[in-house]
Amino acid sequence: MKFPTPVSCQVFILHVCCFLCTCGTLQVYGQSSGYKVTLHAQDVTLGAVFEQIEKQTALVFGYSNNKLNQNERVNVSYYKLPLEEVLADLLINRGYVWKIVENGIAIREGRPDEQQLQYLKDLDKKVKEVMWYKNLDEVVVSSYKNTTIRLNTGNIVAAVRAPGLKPQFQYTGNVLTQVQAPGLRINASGGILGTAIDIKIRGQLSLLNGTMPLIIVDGVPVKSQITDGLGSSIWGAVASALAYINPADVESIDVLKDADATAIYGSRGANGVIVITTKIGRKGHGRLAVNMKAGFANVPRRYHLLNTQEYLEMRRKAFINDKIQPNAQNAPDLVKWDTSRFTDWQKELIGGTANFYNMQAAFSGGNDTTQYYAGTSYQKNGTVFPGNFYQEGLGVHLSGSRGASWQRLRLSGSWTYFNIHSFLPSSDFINYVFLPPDTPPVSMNGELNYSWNNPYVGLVGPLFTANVHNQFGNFTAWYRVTKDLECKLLIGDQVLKGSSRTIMPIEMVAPSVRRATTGSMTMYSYQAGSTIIEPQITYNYSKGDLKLDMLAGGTYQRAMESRATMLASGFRDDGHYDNLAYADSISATNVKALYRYLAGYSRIGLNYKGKYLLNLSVRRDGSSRFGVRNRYATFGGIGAGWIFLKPTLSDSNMKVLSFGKGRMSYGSCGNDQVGDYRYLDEYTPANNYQNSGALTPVRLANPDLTMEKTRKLELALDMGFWNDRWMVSLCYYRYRSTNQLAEYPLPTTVGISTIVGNIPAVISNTGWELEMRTQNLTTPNFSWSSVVNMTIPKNKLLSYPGSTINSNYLLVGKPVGSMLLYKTAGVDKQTGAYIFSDNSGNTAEASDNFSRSYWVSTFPIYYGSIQHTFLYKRWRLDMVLTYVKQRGLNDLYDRVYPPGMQRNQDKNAISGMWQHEGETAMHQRLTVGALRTGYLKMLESDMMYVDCSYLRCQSITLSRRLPLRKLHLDDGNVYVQSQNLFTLTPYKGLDPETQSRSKLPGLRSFNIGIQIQI
Amino acid sequence: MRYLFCFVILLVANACNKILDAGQPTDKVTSVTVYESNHTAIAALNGIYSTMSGGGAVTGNKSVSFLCGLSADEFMLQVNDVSLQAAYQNALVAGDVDCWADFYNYIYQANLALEGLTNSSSLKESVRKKLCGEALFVRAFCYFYLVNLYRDVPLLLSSDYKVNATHSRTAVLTVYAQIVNDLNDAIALLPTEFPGADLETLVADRLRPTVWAAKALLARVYLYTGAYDKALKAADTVLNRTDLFDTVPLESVFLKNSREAIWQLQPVKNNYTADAYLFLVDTMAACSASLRRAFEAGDRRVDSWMMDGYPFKYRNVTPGNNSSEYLMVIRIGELYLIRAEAKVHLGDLKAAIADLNVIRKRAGLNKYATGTQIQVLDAIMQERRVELFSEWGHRWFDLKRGGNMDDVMKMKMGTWQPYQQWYPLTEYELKANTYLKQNSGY
Repeated sequence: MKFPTPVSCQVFILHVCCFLCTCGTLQVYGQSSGYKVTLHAQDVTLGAVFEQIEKQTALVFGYSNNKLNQNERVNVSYYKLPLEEVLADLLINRGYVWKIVENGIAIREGRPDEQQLQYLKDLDKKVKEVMWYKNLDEVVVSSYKNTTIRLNTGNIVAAVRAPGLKPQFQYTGNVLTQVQAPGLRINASGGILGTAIDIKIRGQLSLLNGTMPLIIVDGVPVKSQITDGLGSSIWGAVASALAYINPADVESIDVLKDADATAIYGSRGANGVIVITTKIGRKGHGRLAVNMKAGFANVPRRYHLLNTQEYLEMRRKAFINDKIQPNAQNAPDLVKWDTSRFTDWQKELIGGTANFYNMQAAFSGGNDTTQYYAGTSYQKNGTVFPGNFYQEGLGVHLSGSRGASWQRLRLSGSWTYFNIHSFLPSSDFINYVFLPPDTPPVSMNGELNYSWNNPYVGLVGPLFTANVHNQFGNFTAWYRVTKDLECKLLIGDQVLKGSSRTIMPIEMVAPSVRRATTGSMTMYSYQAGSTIIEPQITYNYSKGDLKLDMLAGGTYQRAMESRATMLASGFRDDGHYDNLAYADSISATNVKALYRYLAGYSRIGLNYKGKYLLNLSVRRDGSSRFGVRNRYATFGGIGAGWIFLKPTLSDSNMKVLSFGKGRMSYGSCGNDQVGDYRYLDEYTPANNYQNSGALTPVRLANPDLTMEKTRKLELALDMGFWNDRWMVSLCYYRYRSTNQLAEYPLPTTVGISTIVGNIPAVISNTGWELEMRTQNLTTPNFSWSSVVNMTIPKNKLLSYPGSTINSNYLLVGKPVGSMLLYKTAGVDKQTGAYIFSDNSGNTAEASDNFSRSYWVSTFPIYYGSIQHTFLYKRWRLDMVLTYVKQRGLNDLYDRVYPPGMQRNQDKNAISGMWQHEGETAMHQRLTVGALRTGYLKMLESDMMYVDCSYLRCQSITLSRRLPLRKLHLDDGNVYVQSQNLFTLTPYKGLDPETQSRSKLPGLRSFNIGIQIQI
Repeated sequence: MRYLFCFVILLVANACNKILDAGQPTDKVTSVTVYESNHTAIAALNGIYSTMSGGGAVTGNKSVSFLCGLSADEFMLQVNDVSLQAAYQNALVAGDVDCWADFYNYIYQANLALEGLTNSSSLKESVRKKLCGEALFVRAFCYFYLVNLYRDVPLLLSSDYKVNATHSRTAVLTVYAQIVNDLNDAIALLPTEFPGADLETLVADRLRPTVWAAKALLARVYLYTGAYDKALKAADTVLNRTDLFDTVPLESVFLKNSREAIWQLQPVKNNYTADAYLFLVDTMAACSASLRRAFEAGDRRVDSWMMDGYPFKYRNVTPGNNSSEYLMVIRIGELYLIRAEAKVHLGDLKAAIADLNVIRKRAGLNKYATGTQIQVLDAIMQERRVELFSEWGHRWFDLKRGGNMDDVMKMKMGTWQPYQQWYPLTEYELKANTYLKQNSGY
């Protein structure tokens, strides 16, 4: 039995669909019998497979002394394969052989001959080459069940499928950054592994609270963020917890979007659900797969900074403009420093090359009833910064399962461990690239130069070391009570632990003042744990043309999060940070929260004649995050599908439209990311009274606090053309999110002026999504297939009650997150300073108190991705392009210093600058401070927002299969890949995705690698 | 069968609630955990005194003492602050001054404390009782000021924001009835000696409300509401505790732990009172000419309680570790005048004059000899004016209940309108709670 890529990886929770599709045609060609078989099916009996083969070949099976269990349930996926190879696949491992006679296939027990074994080997290789384009009958992990694209009624995108030996995982391996799905938008905020990524499915559904989808790994909801970023400044206030899921362990990723798919996730499903499944063993002899790669990464774009001459000219002009005499205090760069020096700070600080390498090895195998997988990986990557900073990861993944689908009891379990050790500078060196180019040398006489604000002091301190361990495991048992009734129990657990240390050594200050300085150390520890127990019962019923599958289950989850910081200061010697006894004073703070969750749910799926589909789901949820009066809520969804066109076996001619399905869904979901204990009141210490402690209430209890709610509607059309070579799916969604959590004002009689509670503000998210999967060309030697997706989203704050609204950020009728800005009106021709205009076109200088009259939205206008796969003989080229049309922050302008002050500038930030009276200019004149007010106001104006659209080559991989027979390999290839190879964008800054000048942008990487399987 | 089913459902529902209980956060204090130990429960009440003493309606430039003094004829404002000018010129508009929010904040804290204390089972019973008494007292104290500043006010007796955010005004008499109830309840719970911060040891500090503070306030409430016999009785019980309370020389009245004090508040931000800073350092207002004229010749209070025309009851403005003065909230001098006034109304002029003369004697004035009932009453009101000036809005309240307010106020500015005796609510408040109506005239 062969398991082609998409099928085998799923743990079958419920066998709902026994759909058999035959879209091949009978062809006679070549030697041997010449019959070709095309067959895709999930969980069908062996007997049914034989029946289909009989239909396609017009041969009849004949059995002698037959003990072959024809009721064994199997998954098959054959595409135009010679009959002999199909038979080898079905029979040899079961201990049977065959003989093709005149109009029949005779099957008997026995050992295969040479020829038959060769068929099996040939097939093995072919299956691995089967194109990875999405198949209609690919299994998708839907909410608590597996189904197929053909039969599902909800919107589920099988975004990542075990790529087999397709190379994956590049420089910064955040598991989700490679996921492409319509409606899904993933934005990196920086180029260092561990930096937060923003994930949104179908827009922004919440005003102030989390928009993160629910992320489930092997049935366990996992943390997606590390609050406080482990106390680091380089990762920012929130670090990504998803960086600690090893991409090497991931078999598949599914994205669940609409009500039909997510209503059963109840109070946590509003933002969508991402289901990640880790690797499990496959049937077959034990195989060792090894993947090794090595490469380098660097910053792909540069600022166009001034050289020393240009810089000095700018500075001098600024002083003249402001009529100020430069001196040693206000202009050391002009007066004190050696103005003949030039340092390219970009090259020095972020121009390095980050080397990385990665090794993975996995051993897996199994038979019909037992499968095992054991994998390990090691990775190390450097940084583009100076110094020896690095991040190093080690992972182990084990999984095993026992029992086959026809047996009463099945068990499976897995355990995954991933650890990343990071040694990083405390702050991002990119912040120093704007230093004047004529700065004094960084070191003198072998000592660091402390006489100026030298970025190389960052190599001495503060230094940040972090260690994060992520462990998750699950155990699942299925028990089949009768043929149609099955019970299941899942127990899962995750522990995410992190600790970090930031040292500020005495060495950070000049030797002359070290005597008076002490060192300090901040230790931070983080721990999040989650345990889930999920019992389930499933029941299948079928009578005539009606198939019914039912599921009922419950979830209990308990999660804990704790954070603690300890500051030890007063170290008098840099050698003693490990021994707290050397600290003068130690202070500590901690935060701890507990979360409990309980739910019951049920779903019923109806399938009439394989044509009419109906799916009902309901969930009742209780969460400890909500006030006692509103702890529970009920959610439900309905999905319906109508397959109005499906191919029949007699369709031997190519039809333009080969498959058609319409579907719709409607339902409700919640968002419970409101924070723990927010419904409780809180006391805070006040000044002591009578020399004794005092506490005053600072927050009101809100026993009514509850989740945000979203109603989702979706209409979609799935179509297949030319025997499903082209699959097009188009869908429209409309989400309405309300019950928004906000801090709203109360009358003062209440005692406290605001309360965190739900308000009836309404956010609307609508959009169109298009996905096309096409096989553009298929010849024996060459094939080309593509996946194109596009999303056109719209977001609008429909209403916001109350008058005391922060009018600069919450704009009714505009997308959430829009901002009101000042409107610039160019530069005053006489003074050379920025002027601003109001609504009615009046202009005035910066000091006038004009109201903000210009609004801007950073919500994307459209986005998507284009993926191509080319196969030519042994060669394979994979390419992923992503694109987005959006506006965003202009990172060219310094957030503090206007051009002219002691800071280097991008040429684009001073181009079109006012120079002479009467001149029309884009930028105001150079200043050393006189026009700073206008500059700062400009930073809050329309000029700060520019076109951040881009088309990016996310990844490109060229691989060549190794000559397997010559090398006695099971499989193998060598490859070259590049991530972020090029970006086409009108954006002038470093990265239109991160839009930041204080965080390292996404890096461009190149690597080579080899994969072999023996 | 049906009942069994219902029972099972109930059992399951109950179990669910238990499973879903994430308990209390261990790193923060909530109203549940705060009443689990004696120490934190006391801290919650300390919190009220600490916020009171920190400023706002109780002391400093937004206090009842200051604002009511400006509105009445006690002070001459010396700064050009828009809201203070409006108060001073009796030209307040909605939003200028706001004692309302502060008092309701204290009331919220007291209500929260009462709920927490009532539900708590882990506190020492004697501590719990005393704390309940303190919370009831604080609530009554705040409502007394609210009704005297704003007339009808929402009477809020729980911490439930939903109720409190939509409550309309309650009639003054109902509020007074609640004040009396609360005080009587408090009297049954409060200690008769001054306790320390553990509520058990006895200390010299008079920083926590006792039975005597409750009775003194009760006497004042009865006097204001015309229940003179009850006012007399309540004042009697306090004045009879001569072992605890007595009049002291003028210079010592406002010192900490003075025997004059029935309840004082400890300065928490600095070691001096905000009232002292207000007049002596900020010099925001001086005593008005009419107040200065009100003193009889030879009144020693002019020298002792005034300096260069500024109120000088509190003298300490030097930072340091030890306060020499505490903020006086209720003192025995007022009790003598309450009793005197009650006695006049009850017809016992001789006894009334005796009480009046206790105060006059301390001020170095001749004994008041005799007069008609109206004359004696006038003498008492005059004495209240000079004895209690710059304290707790006594003059403003006395004018309102004395019946001669319009005449007095017209002499001050000339633009006086009777509606100005009640402060306006802020615009914010009216918007946030549409059940509230503005005081008439604004």
